[in-house]
Amino acid sequence: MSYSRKVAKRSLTVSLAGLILASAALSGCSSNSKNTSSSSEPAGSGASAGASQTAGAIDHSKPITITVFDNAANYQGEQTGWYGKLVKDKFNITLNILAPQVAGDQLYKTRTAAGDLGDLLIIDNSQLEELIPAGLVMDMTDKLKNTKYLSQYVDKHFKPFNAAFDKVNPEGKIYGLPTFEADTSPTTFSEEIPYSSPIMPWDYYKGVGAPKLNNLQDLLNVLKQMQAKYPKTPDGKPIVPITLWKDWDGGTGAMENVRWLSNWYGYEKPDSTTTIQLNAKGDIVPIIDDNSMYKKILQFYFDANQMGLVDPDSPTQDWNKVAEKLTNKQVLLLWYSWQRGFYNSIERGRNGDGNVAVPIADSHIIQNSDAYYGNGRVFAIGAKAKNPDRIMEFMDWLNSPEGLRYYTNGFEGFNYEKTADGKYQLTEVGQTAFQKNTPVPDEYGGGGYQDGQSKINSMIMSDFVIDPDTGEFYNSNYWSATIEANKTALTTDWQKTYNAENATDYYLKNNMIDVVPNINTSLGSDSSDIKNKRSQISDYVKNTSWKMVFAKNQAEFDQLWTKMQKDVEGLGWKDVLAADTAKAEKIVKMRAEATAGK
Amino acid sequence: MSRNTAEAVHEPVHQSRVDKKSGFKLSATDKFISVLIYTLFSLFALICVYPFYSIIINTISANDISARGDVVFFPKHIHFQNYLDVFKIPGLGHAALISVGRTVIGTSLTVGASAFLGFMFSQEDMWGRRFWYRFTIITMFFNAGIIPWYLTMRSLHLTNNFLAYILPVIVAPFFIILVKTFVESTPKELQQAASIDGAGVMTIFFRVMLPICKPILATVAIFAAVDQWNSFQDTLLLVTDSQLYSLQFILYNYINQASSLSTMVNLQNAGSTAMASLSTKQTTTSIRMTVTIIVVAPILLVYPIFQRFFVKGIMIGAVKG
Repeated sequence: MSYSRKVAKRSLTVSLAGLILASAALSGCSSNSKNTSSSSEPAGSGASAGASQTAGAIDHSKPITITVFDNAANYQGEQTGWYGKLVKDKFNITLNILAPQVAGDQLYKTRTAAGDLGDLLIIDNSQLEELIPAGLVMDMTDKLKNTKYLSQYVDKHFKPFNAAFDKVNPEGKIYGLPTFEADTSPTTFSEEIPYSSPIMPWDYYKGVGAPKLNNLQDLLNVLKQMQAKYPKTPDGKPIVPITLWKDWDGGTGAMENVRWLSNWYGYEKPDSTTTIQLNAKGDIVPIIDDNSMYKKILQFYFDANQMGLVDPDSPTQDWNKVAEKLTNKQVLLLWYSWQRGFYNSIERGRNGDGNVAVPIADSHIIQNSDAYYGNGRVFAIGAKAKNPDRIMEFMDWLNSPEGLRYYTNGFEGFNYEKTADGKYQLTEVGQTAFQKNTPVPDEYGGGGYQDGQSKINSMIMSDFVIDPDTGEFYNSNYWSATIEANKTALTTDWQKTYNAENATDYYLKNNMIDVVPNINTSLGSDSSDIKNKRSQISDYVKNTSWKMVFAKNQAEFDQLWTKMQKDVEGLGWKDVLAADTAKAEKIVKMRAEATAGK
Repeated sequence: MSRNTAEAVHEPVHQSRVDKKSGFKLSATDKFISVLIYTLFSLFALICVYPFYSIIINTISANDISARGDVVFFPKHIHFQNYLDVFKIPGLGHAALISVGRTVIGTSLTVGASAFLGFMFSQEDMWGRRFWYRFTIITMFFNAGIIPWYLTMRSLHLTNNFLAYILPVIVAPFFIILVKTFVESTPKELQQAASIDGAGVMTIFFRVMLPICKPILATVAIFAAVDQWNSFQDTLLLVTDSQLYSLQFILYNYINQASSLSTMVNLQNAGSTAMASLSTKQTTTSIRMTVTIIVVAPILLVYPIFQRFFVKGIMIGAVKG
């Protein structure tokens, strides 16, 4: 008995000692970051005096911690690294970020129930709509008047956005500043290629003679030729002209792959609706209408499948599998602008290899403009925030040229530098600092560049705002130096062929695109009755759509279609359609106002 | 003396077993059954072990291969970058300390409280026993929900407080029932004998029952320690001070951030030549698996420590009838 106790005691001591040793070893790793943060303190008080010159009367001597409730963040904890040091030095502020993406939705529910969500809030539009009547967000109308930078955007950006919440905000006060607003115009689209447009591998397309595409039938024929000539990748993987995937159909109410091809012919499906499509003129078409673009695109996929062009994995694969195929250049037809990135690289571009836009002559793309009114979330100040003036000052700085440059591009001299003509260009380090997580010099706070970036992960005005010093966007992808550096045989060859700067330019020149104002508001939430009906209809429509694409023949395709038209009526189609129509009408109305007001 | 007799009794039994083995030849059916049993149990063991093995080999294989799911039986292109990356997470050491702290302190308090309450609830002369027992047990069946719970904790100032990890779990009805049942299964005479010798309730508890309860307390300790180590919800909702984040939380945070970053890096490659070496570039798979191993490994070590207490028959012969 006593012997076994001794053994137990000994093993316990040994294991405890082990634990302590292990934790000591582990804490050794973090001691570096601790040292730098403590050494930054004296520097902090020195530099904060400099910041107060610009900010006027606000006193920075007291260090504060701001609790940031941030829906956009995917990191929870204190902002550390170079951005953390920057904010500490300038404002004597520590950002403590709470991320529902990490902590879960309960975080929002419990904290709102307790009446204090946080000091600085980055929340969804629909949450703002809840929080205004609950009195949990602060009215910023007067505070904005004293700001240097934010005040410039009040009339054109913040006021129209807040006024649209007329049910909860009849007086048109300003409670929320929308995120990622571009300062171009409500009808400008600044990106080089539409969000959805036909994209194909340039070398393969040229390999079959680059025939002009007049319509979708031509597209199918060319895909067929490409498939016949290039059945396999160099390392022997099969090439599938069109590949589809199911797992993104989730909340969208219809086949997502059909949705985005409809955009090529001018019909978009607004988010949070499931039964309609909308064009630039404001026509609202139910997707089960016999003339709907939804049906036409289903027919296109059906025809493609009949020609053997659709990947047989389509019904069973998920997006990850598709991403892998894109990386291996196994897919011939792409549509999302960002899908190019899985294969394209500068290296390959130099050899004329890569995915590029291949316009179809009869298409007429609908494209949402730059996010002039923001992109779905807002910055707000919690009603119980203790230092609203200092938070306001910080938000104002986020929108100053300095704040925007730090957020988007890091440090001058480290990430970017001035060229002879007074514009900016990325340094060698800057080009890869994000991907490689390059160590930042100690004077800036040390640590990796990526690790130290702003964990707020959101901005009020976006990088599609002109930097007054250079006359170019803050977004480094659109600097003339970057565009010049990224020129390859692929881009110049494309430019020569289509006689245009880039895809967007081509579509605009040839009047093949409608840029509609990007609407950012809360469209209200469904009643539980509509919610139930919507989900039943969505499941049915999704299933039938997939069956139609893979139908044996045209007769089966048509029969499935008519059956669906009939069956969804019984599931409450009319009610859901009415709800969606109301939402779409709000969008149409706001678009009209936006175009008139510009 | 008694020990000798016990040995004497044991010896022939042992001998006869040996005789059986050497004396009888195994029939074909016996052999078949043995083979079957061995195969079945090896298979079963394999099923238990393989998931761990699979995760381990995936963490040390080249990340691009593991992301494709091509690592099945043997690691390919071994490297340890994943572990190095995880150990570089800022604040990891501190978080580990918090986790170890809450596990050690929380577990010892839970075990102590469960032992004492379990023992007390078995004492028929305890004041208001039925009421207190039901008062405790009812919390197992009824739960007010997350928002009232949060509000209560907030009003008790148990947000951003290390005690939030410890206090709420000290009185655990399930463990109390376990201990109570165990105490009730021990012979009453032990306690009676002690009280005849003049022991009070506390003496009986500490000197008599606590040593006897070791097996059940070891069980409770393992349960409590695993619960504490894995606990996560309380950090999410109650703690906003990063000095109090636990290891689980930090690692979860890391998974979240790293996987969204690895997606972003992929998308950003559109216009850039920068490609870190694919085989060591983190993927969602590599991050998840590495973190899994790091989280599971320490708690696996707890089992062997406590296993020695799972000894049956400590009390056999304690009461002579």
